[in-house]
Amino acid sequence: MFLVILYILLGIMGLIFIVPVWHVVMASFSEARLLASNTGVVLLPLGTPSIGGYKIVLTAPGIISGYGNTAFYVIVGTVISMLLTIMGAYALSRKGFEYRNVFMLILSFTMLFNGGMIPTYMVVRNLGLYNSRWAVIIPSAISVFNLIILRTAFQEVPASLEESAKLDGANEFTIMFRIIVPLAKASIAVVVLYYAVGIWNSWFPAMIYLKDRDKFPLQLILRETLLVNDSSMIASSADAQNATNLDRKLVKYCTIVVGTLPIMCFYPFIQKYFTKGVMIGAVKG
Amino acid sequence: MKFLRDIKRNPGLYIIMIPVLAFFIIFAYVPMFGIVMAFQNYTPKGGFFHSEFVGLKHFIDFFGSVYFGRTIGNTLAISILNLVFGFPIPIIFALMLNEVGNKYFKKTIQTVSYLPYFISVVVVCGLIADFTASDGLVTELIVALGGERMNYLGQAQFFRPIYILSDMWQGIGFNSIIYLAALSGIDQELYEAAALDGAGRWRQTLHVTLPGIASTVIILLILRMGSMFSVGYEKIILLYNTNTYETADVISSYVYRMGLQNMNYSYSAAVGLFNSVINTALLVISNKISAKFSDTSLF
Amino acid sequence: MKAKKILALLLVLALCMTAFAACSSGSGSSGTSGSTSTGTTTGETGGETGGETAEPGEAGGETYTFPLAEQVTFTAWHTNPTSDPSLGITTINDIEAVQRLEAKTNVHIEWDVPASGTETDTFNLMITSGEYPDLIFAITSYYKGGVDKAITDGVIIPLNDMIETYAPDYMKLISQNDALKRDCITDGGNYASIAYINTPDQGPWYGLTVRKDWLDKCGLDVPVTYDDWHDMLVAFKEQCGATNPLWLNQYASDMFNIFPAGYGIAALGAGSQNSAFYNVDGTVHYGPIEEGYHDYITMLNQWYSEGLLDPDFYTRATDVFVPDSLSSTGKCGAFADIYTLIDMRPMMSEDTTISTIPVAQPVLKEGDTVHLRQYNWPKGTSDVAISTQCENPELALSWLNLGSIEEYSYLCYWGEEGNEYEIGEDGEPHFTDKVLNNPDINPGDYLTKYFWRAPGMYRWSRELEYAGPLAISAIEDVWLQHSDGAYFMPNITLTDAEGQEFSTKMADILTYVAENTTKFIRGERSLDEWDAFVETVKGMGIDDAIALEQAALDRFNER
Repeated sequence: MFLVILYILLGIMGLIFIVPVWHVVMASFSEARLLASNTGVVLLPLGTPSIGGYKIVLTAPGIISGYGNTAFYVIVGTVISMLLTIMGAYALSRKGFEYRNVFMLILSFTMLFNGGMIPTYMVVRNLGLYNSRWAVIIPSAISVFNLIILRTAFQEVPASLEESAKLDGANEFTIMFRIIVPLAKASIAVVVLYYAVGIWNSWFPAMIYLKDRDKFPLQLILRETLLVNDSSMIASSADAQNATNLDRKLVKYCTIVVGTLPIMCFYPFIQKYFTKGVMIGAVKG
Repeated sequence: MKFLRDIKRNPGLYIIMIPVLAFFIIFAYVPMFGIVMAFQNYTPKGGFFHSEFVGLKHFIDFFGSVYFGRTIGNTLAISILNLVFGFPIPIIFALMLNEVGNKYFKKTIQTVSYLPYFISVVVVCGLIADFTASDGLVTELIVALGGERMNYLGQAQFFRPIYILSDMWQGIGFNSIIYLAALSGIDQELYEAAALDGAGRWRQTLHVTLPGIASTVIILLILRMGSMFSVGYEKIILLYNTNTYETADVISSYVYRMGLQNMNYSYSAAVGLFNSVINTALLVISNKISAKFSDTSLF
Repeated sequence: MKAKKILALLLVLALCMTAFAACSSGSGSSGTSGSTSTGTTTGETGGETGGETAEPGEAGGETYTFPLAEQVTFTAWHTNPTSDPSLGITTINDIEAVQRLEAKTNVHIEWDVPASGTETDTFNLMITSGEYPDLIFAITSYYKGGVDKAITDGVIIPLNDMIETYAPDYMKLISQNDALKRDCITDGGNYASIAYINTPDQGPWYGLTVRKDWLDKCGLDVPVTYDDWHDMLVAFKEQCGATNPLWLNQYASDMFNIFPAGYGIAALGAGSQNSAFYNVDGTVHYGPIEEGYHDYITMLNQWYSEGLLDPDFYTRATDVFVPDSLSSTGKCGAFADIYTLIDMRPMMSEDTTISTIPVAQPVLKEGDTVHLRQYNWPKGTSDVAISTQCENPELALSWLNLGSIEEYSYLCYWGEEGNEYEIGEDGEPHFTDKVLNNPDINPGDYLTKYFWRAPGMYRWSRELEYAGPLAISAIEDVWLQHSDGAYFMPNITLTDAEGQEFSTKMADILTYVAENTTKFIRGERSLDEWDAFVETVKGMGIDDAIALEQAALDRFNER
């Protein structure tokens, strides 16, 4: 009985999660004219299924280079973020580190206080990072929230393992990467996912620090096509005509799919590591 | 010097900390110098050193504004609702998934549940507006259940439920990941031992599962408390309209309208600083409480 | 004990911080002076071609002869000409007209184009950083505090001393009439930028339309008064099944206050801070506290209760234009539209019987005159200024002057003679079939993709080449009927201090007025409380805001 209710509840939740997403995907294969005037939920493509919208989106200049740039930002950015975060989390999780709470305070404080956009911008510019790809990656490399997650996970690793390694003459780096990190694989996978998704969806640093369009990430380019009917941009009849294009709604849905699908596909690979982490934990006991 | 002794004792740890600390000093503490603009009439030409100093003028302006009480009230209301409903649901969802025996069902539901998280806020808000219009999907459902046909997003009393529910829709699956990871770290032998002692499903949950994820829950809760006063403006300004300002307008959306849109750097810095101070106080208090009642704390 | 240690550490940290801050700000100032050389390579090459002749040459009045002997590069900040990805334009240099212009002048431009929708942020950051490109487009729209302030802030240079010499054709263009010339000078008496001049004057491109097929079905004439509109909307609702008979935007108006204007006031329009101000014989008024607004809201309240108004009007936050889900379905029968779309409406919906016609603005009683509508001042809203970091402003100005010369203007706006346009018997250019009947691309997109809007002569009228008959009747006749434009507010400028005070006050006022307008219309607040509403708005400082606008208007009139 308990299980039946559980399955029904979870099944309903599953439907709630999937229907709006399904709507977007199906709408993206619809006919532009029908979609423009449609209001309800789209369960099957309206009219003859077509990929017209995708043709427009995928042949648009900048999309391909945007994909390449985003891939670079996600991969390099996640690696750098993970390295720094693991280092910080490791040091701050060691019980023998007397001032760890002071450092934790210094780090946590930045979650609450920040100088705001303009001062940060000036610092990045003065470091010579303006219009450099690193400006997208480095200033937001460490998230204190993620660091805390990892620190908590590292603290759960039994101290006896570390001590025996120390007796064998292992240094901190060896302990960190050979013992602690493998044991906290599940949490590390979670944090990798957090960083990767965050970088994938981010456009703000790119907007303020990059000048060259060939460095723009996908999201910044896609964001342009999602902007519709913004009155502040309309100064003349020509602008107004630009803003009312019949394909807009279709292009919008295709854009959503194009901008979301790849990162969704990334998830199952990470999910695999979750189960691996579970197995290791179970064997070691 | 105790500090030097600690360095001598843990040289490796300090070396590891150097890049991390450098990061925070350069990208978090140096820009904090910019907080001075909250006490100035900051102009780009004058910069931080030559802009006119006005003391607490911007704070006084904010406290005297008719929107002071309303934005604070709305911010608190939305945060508390979000905490009460948004915080436990991912935990419950994770626990429910944990009980499911069928591997394929579990994996399907889990995979489906994270989908909404990947959709950007702009898109989600567009969908919400579509679905809650007077002929939208959700409205049709409400009408079928005997409700009234209207535009739900346009009603002040429905703004908060819509905001919270959509937040939950987007976040449940993804937020539950961290609990699932914690659950997967619980020693299976503990369950076996509990089962040998004759503990049923509920008692196993109560005595093994919950203690196993308790520290994760508490840390996340403390962090949540600290951000009590920071409801992000992005989603608010995408969802609110003239008819729902009275329940929807929060501090950050007010700052956005007053500051960022009008480029009044100093005023927005002042209100932001006020917001930060309250956040800090809340974080410290909740951390104290947590340290007192459980042995888990941030620092 | 422990607290002491923490304190000590924090102190050390604070010291580090200040040291860093000092370092970074120090390197900031030296950085700006050191890096001015980036991007520009002008200087000598410019001097070589024309630096010695200080007087304007006879041919075309230029001191520089284009094409230049050696290529010169300028940097320029420009908003994105199109965010439509299907057109395939990544940079402005992809536009054919720009390439032709470069070939003809040997002036290369490196464009800095922010992503659409991020212009305000990136512009403000650029100004904050203290590093400017040579040319800054759209400066009037984005520089907070106005272009006079941009000059005193040292961002752009005044063109006063050079403009007669290096931009004679532009001067000729703006000297057509006194009003235009006055518009091109700032309050401070400066020529701050080269503007886009609408030639010829443009009629209203935005106005009201109603469903023609429904009018026929119900046997109704074109409505003239608000009462006619009422009867028409009732008929639409009852006989044609319209669920949202009249579209209005979230501010219970439309982008340019076309619909409410018959009450002799400006309503909230597109919801910008100054869209409810208007000018009656030199006196500034704020619409929402006038009696006319009360009457307008009373009428809408009545219509709303009868179901004649779009019931969701106040939630249509992003819709400046009528959404397709209303216009292309049988839901809505009357809405504001862009003139070129009227002819296209039947093709934009599954239901091809849908057709609309332009109608004049409603009036209270027949024979009344309306004083507000969509209007483009001859001086366009966009412009381009030369920054203080431009190393050869004379050459830049000469290049900017080109857009006022017919030859170059045609090149940018009409393309190649014989290929894309022909000069007709009337002496005016006309597009060829390559533009008008191209199987691959519609004319509107062709213009965006291949042509560039150069500063100077803005030939908007090329749109009429491919406009349908309804569009032409709308812009040239219907939308001008009984509308004299007497209340138009000219392009006034607030000083920085004024602007700050104005926007602080108006942000609150706009929120309050918009919120209560919706409440009055929906009957959530009784119209009996109108006086209390006006009192509150006054208490929030509307009189101060009006005074600021008044002062700016007076300055404008004294130019």
